[in-house]
Amino acid sequence: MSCLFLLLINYLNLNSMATKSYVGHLSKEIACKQGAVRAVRFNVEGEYCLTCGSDKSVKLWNPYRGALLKTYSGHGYEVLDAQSSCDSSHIVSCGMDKTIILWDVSTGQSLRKYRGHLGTVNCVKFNEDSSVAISGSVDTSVRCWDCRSKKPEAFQIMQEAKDSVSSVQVTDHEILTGSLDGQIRRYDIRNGQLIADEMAQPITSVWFTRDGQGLLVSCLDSTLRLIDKDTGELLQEYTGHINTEYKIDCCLDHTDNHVISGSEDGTVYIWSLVEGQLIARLEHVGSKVVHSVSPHPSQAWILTAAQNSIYLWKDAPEDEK
Amino acid sequence: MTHWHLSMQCFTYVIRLICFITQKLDDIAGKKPIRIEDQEVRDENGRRRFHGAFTGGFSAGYYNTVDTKEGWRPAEFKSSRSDRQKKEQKPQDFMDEEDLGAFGIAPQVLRAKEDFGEGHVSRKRLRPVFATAGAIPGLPALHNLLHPVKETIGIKLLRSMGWKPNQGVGERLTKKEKKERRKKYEETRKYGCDLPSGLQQREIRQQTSDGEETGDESDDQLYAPDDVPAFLVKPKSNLFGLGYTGLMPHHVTASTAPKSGFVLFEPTLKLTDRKKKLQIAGQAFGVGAFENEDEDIYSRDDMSQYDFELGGAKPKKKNSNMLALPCSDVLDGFVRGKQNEPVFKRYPPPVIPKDFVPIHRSLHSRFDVKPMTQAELSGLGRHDLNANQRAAILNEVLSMPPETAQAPAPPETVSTPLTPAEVVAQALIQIKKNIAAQQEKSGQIVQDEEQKVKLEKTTAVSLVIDPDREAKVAKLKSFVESSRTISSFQPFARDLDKQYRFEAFCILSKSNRLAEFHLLQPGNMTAWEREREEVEFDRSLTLYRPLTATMQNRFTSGGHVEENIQGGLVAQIESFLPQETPQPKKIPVVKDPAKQAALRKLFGQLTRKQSQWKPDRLLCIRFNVPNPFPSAGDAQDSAKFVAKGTSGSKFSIFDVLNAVPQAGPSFMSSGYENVPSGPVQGPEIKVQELEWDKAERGELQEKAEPDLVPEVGPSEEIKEEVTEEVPYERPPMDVFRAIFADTDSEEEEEEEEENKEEEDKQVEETKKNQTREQPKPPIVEEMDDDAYGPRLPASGSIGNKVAVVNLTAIQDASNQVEWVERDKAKKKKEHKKDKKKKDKKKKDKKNKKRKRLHSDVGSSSSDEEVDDMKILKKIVALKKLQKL
Repeated sequence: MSCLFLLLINYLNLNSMATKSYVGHLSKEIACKQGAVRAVRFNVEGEYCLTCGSDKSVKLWNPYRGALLKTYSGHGYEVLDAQSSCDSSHIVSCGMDKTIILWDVSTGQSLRKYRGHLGTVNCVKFNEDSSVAISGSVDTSVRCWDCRSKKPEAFQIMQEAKDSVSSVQVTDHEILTGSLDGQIRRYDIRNGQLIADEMAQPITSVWFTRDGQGLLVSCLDSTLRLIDKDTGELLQEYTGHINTEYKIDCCLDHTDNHVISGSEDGTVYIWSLVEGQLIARLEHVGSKVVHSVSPHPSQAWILTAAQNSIYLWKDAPEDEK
Repeated sequence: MTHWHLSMQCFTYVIRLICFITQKLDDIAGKKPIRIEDQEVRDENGRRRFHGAFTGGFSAGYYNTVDTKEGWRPAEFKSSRSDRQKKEQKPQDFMDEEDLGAFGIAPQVLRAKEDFGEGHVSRKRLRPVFATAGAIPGLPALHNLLHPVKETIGIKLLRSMGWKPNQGVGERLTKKEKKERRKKYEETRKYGCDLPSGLQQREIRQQTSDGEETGDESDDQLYAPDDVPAFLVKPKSNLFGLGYTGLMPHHVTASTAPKSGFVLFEPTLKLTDRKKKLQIAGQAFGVGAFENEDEDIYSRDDMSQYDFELGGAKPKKKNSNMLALPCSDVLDGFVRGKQNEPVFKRYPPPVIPKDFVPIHRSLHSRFDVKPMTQAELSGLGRHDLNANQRAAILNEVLSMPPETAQAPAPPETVSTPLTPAEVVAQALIQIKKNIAAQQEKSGQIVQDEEQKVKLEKTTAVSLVIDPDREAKVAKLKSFVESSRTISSFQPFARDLDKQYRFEAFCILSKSNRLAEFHLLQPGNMTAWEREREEVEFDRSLTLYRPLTATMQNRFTSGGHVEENIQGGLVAQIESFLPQETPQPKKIPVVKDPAKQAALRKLFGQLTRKQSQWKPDRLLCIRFNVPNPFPSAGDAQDSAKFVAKGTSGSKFSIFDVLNAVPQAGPSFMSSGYENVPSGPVQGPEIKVQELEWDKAERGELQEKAEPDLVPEVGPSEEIKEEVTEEVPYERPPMDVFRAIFADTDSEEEEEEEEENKEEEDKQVEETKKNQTREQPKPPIVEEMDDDAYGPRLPASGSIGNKVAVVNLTAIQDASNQVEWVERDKAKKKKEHKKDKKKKDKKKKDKKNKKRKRLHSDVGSSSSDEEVDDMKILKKIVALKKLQKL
């Protein structure tokens, strides 16, 4: 409990430091022309973004100008997730064709194609130095693929999940997975431990807080939960949005003051982390489900994806800047 | 005299003059006339172009060879997908230089074109040709082909007066006037049908004289008037409308041709609509407008074409027939068909008997016709469900309007409108009922069958007279019944008897009582049939088995899933519920306490589960994290080992050798000094392995710590005992390796070094732990100098030796060997590059070295070649021993 208290105090301090209120202004809307956009992801620096389309392609954009920089095609079916490496020289993407592809950003060619999953691959993440790609799949397994060597098969397979693995997050020594069986599993490599927390609800998305002390979990009962990493206790719940059917991303902004989540009513919900109050709703006109959200790593900007477009939201109107 | 002299002088002068002139002439003409032999044609390079006929005639290329000194080289042409070359090839690419010269085939000289000049009219300025009415639409074909050789005097005169082709004759006009005139002309000219708009436009554009398009509307600029088509006086010879000429396909070919079935020409014109562009193909020449039709000289001569009577030909009979027919609706050019269209007889579909049931059941015999059971008829109750119930099961309720979902509910519940959840619940209940009913019925049937079988058997018994048999059968049946479970796999579900027998077969085969199976088979079966059935069952059983095995690791365990389904289904049903209807929120019955706690929002210790997880070695390296279990092998080591042992492709004898010590400790006793504490390992490892399985909440680490400290003293005692027991010595590992492995001695040496390093490292690690530990002297005695295998670390200090023992105590033997081998493989990879560079000599050297090493190594294998058979025998013997 003391730990929890400290954490809260910590958050309060942070909150007082960042006084700027979070009001989103739609800065850009880009029609990606690649079918439904399954995911949108900022790169490490937040200069570019990747979109995964249902037309089997991954596209690299400059979201501020709305310029398409490159298209990566080679997947056999819809692409569901992608991430760029820490030096932005590679991209890893996964999709419904059960493969994970490692791309070279500049040439646009696929360097590796990892096959081994028995089903649709839902999510993929690089580790800190982008030497390992970690993927979660419908086949309930999480697989680690070595990007350095030319080893074609996964060097480690985690099969603890009892249902589809919907989300994966990686820190410097942990792998966090959320599964539809209602458990978040944290694989601690440093301690050689697996810590599983029961949520009793199918989990669609997980997110680490920046300080690594909390876990944000998005469940299919239209609730986001903030869990204390050390004790597994519930710190806060965030409700108001709708998430009962789709795999909807949740995330925290760059200051860890705001919880951001998509919703099935075409809006993005933003709560304050500590109070759990709804601060803002970003309406996406004409779309039903906002399923992918990506926060800018250093600004209060968000990229969201709904239907076949992506939207860039900034904290202040353009002309002021 | 003087006169003569003068004349003589004059003469000489003249002669001199002549001489001079001739000389001069000679000088001018060249001293020697060039002989014919010297008159050679040479090209610019001084090469001779023409030879005599016997020396090759015309020469080309490089001294009558192709192209260059180096021979013929085709021009480079490279085109790839990324760098597409769009260069079109020209004939010039294939020509020699000479061909492009002034006298070549394609001289590259600027010269006036033939059609450039006074008389010629460029295509652009061609006189407009007006489409004339004719057989061929569009411009007259001949006009394009034939041009006048010379221009007429009229045109010449006009030209000299300033007329230009494509212009009309007359006063020059302003643009406005011209337009008006054109309009007028258009109006007056129009007769016949309108042309399509596109054509019209084009025609107008053609008529406009040059320079007009660019000009502006100013009045002071004058233009030549438009050209007017020459008016042709053409007498009208038919009764068609003005300007009409029909397209008649058989116009050109003789009228006799189609009759005789011989078509010389294709139809004159084919109008094809290809790619939406009107194409006109076919024969373009016809009979001229002013010419009479020629006699068709190409068509076959026919007697019908001759007149046999004087006077005009009589009207043909056929024509009269045609006219006599009442069918005036037959179009000109068409002939009435002689054959009637075949009329297909239509048969009505067969009438389905009222008692027909659309279920197929194979008959066993004609006399044993069983009526359809209710269970069979209803199937699994699918047919009892109505559309709504099915929709509810398939989650389609939400998409349906609520009225339709409620309206056709079962009659007994009509009074109360059903929520979709209730519909689902009802449907589920019904399905369950059906299943239960079916099971009950099938049970009854089985019982019936049993009775029947019994009856049959009694009859059989009465024939065979075997009093024991019945008792046996009853016993067997009771046994089968007791151990019978409802299995999902029912390959003979159609025949319940057979299915029952199959289940019995399964049970009996499990309990090794297959010999008694024939008792269960009905007595009326022949021996052959029985045998066949057994074979069939056996096969389906083998088919059934591996499936479960292969599927097992793909699915989660049944218990967990069922539990999930229960909760999940309730949740789903709840999600169906409309938001308005207030429903007491049920907390689904969940057995898992963690889940219960989570549902009550009691997150924390209750919902948390910690367990040990072994990250892969590589994962630790890649994450730059120290391996939490440095001593333990990789997470998948054991799995790998199993795979190695069973997979056919990479099976090696070492797998067997490695597998042996795992099973029993006694084997490792002697002669295998690089794993000195073999006997101690066995039990210890087992404990450790179990702990791996059990290990939870990090208990292992505390437990394992003390285990790491081996009690060397007793181990040595055991070792000695065992050595006494074992009757013969196992040849050292290196012998096998020398025989079976294809490693090089150098690698081995390196490997040894590697081992040393590794061990040293571990020594250092363990040293710290072992400072309190007493040194155990007997080990030093145990280690012979002649020991085979990788050398031990330098035995300088006692602590080292302890460490060695310690190390081996931690690692089980198989693991270590495994490790060594893998390491070797790694080494091999690294060496591959170097290897390539090494030449043969070195290899020879290596071989020699290896031989030497072998002789060094084995006291028992001092004779360099060890018989393979011997070793294999020994392995077999060892195995036997182990079994004992």
